[in-house]
Amino acid sequence: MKRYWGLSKGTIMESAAYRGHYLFTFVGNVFYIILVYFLWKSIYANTTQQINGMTFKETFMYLTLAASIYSLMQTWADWDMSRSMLSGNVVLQFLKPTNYQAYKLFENFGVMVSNFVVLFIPSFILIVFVFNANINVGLNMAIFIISILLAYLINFGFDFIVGLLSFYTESIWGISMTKEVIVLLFSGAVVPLPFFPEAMRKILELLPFQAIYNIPLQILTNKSYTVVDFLTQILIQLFWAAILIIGGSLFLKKASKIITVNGG
Amino acid sequence: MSIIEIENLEKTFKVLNRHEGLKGAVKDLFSHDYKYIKAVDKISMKINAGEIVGYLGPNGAGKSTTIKMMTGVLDPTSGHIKVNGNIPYKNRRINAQNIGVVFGQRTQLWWSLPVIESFKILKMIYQINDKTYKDNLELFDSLVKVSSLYSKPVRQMSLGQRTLCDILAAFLHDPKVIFLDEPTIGLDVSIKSKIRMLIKELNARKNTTVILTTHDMGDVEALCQRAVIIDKGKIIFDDQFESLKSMFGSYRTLKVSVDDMSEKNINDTIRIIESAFNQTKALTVNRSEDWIEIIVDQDKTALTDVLSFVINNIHVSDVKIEEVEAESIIRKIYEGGRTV
Ligand SMILES: Nc1ncnc2c1ncn2[C@@H]1O[C@H](COP(=O)(O)OP(=O)(O)OP(=O)(O)O)[C@@H](O)[C@H]1O
Ligand SMILES: [Mg+2]
Repeated sequence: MKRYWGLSKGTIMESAAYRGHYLFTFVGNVFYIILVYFLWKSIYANTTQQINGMTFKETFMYLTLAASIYSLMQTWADWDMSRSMLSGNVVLQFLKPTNYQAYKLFENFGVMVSNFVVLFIPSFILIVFVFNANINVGLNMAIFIISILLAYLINFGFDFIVGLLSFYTESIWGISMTKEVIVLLFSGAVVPLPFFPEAMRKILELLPFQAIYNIPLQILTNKSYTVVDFLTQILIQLFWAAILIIGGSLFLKKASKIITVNGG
Repeated sequence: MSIIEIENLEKTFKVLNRHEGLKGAVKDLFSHDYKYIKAVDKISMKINAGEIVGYLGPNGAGKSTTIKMMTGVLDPTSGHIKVNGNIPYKNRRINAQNIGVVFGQRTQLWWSLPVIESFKILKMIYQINDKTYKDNLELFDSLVKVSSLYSKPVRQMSLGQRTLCDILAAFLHDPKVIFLDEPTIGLDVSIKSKIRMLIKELNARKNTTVILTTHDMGDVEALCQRAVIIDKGKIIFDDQFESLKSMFGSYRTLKVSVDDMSEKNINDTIRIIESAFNQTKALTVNRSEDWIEIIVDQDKTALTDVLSFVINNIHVSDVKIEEVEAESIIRKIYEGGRTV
C-alpha cells in the first residue's frame, strides 16, 4: 500500500499545475446546471404538483448534486490508459514493482481528490446555499463520504476494464463513449431513477450503474432512510466494487499476456 | 557469476496485414490476415554482474524487444531468461525492484512536477530507505552537479537535462541491472560525455550491470568492454569490443567526393571502383552522405593502389583517408554476416 500513495500525491500536485482546466470544467458545469434548470422547469410547467413523487425542487437538487458527483468521477482513467497504450508509454508502468491496476487506481485517485476539492466542494456549497437545499447534516454525511468513495471505485472499475480493451483494439473511442452514455443514463445521473418506467427501474436497480450516482444521492437526500437502509445500500456498493475490481484484475491477467508495447 | 542468462530466446509478433485507405480499414476489422514478425530469433547469452555490455545492431534488429523481455514486460514466445535469478515475465514485480530502465525517447519523470518530486514518488514506489536515498542524491550531485535542476519542472527542461535526470532516476533504488535503450539519442557532445562519465562511475561504484543499446559508437568505445551485435533477431557477434576492432584493424576508409553528386553518377562511380577490384574482394563501397566511402582491406590490396586507381580514373574533387570507425565495422558485419 505504502508504495502507492506517492502516485496519488503526484497526480494531485500535477492537477494543481493545470488550474486552467478546472476553471473551464467548472464553467461547463455551471452551464449544464442552467440547462437542467430550464429543461426541468418546462417539464414541471403545467403542474405545481409532484411528478413521480418528486417536486421540481427535489428533482433539480437531485440532478445538480448528480452533476457535482459527475465532476468527481471525470478522471479519464480509460482515456489515459488507451493513450499510453498507443504511445507505448504503458511500458513505464509495467516496469515498476507495482500491480498495474493498483498503480492506475492510486494515480487516478489523485485526480478524484483534486476534483473533490476544486469542483465538488464549491458546487456542493453553491447548491446548499444558493438553492437553499435542506440536506440533513449528520450520520448521512459521513455515510455519504464512504458511499462516494465506493461509487468512485465502481466507476474506476468500469473505466479500467474499458481501458484494458485498448490492449486489444488500440482505439477505444467508440467503446468509451458508449460506456459514458450508458453509465450516465442508467445510473440516474441525467434522469432521476423514479422517472423511469416501473419495470425498467426494477432492472436498473439490479445493475451496478445506479450504485455510482443514485445510491450516494439517496443516502444524502432521502429523509426516510433508516440505518438499515444505509447499510444495505453500502453493501450493494461494496458488492459491485468487489465484482468490478476483481473482474478487472482477472482481465488484466489475460490482457497482459498479449501486450505488445509499441515503439522502441 | 552471471546475472543474466538467456537461452534460445524467441519473440514473434503477430500483426494484422493492414490495407490502405478507409475501405481497407473497414476490411481490417474483419480480417484474419495475420503476418508473423520474428523480432528475436533464438538468441542465447550470459552476462556477468558488473559488466557493461553494448547491445548493438541496426534499426529493427530486435534490441528493444529483447530488453522488453528481460524487463518482464513482454512474454517470450519461447526460450528461457533469468535476470538476477528471477524469470522476468513470471515475477515481473520482483524483477522490477532489481532493475532500472531508461528509454531514450520516453521519460518516467512526472511531466509537470519538479524533478525532486518525481524522485520522492520513486522513493515511495521502490520503498527506498531514507539513508540510501540521501546517499544517492549526494553521490549524483558530486558526479554531475544536478541539484540546481531539481526544482525545475520536467517539461521546462532541455532533452539533455531530462535524460540526465532520467538516468539518475533509474539508478535511485540501487538496481542490480540497468537497461539503457538509446540513452544518448539526440544529445550534443558535451552532455553525451557527461552521461558516459556518469554511467561509468555508477557502474564502478555500485557494480551495477549495464546493458546499453546505442547507435553511437562513441558510447560503446567509452563504456563497453563487451559488444553483442544482433541483426534480424539473431546474434551475429558476441565478444570483447577490442577484438571487434582488431578484427578489422587492417581496414582503412578512403573517402572520395566527386563534382557531380547526382544519384546516377555516384552509382556509376561506385560500380567502376567495385569492378576494378572485383577479384580481390578487398573493398566495400558505399555512399555516405556527401562522400563515396571505400573500406579497404589492406591485407588484400594496398591502399595506395586503390588511391591511384581512383585518382586516375575518376574526376575527384576531394579525398580523405580515415581509420575505420566501429560503426562501419559493424555495418560490414551486418552486411556480410560474420566473416571471421
Ligand atoms: N509491438 C510490435 N508489434 C509488431 N511488431 C513489432 C512490435 N515491436 C517491434 N516490432 C518489430 O520487431 C522488430 C524488432 O523491433 P525492435 O524495436 O526490437 O528493434 P530495435 O533493434 O530496438 O531497433 P531500433 O534500433 O530502431 O530501436 C522490428 O521489425 C519491429 O517492426
Ligand atoms: Mg530500439
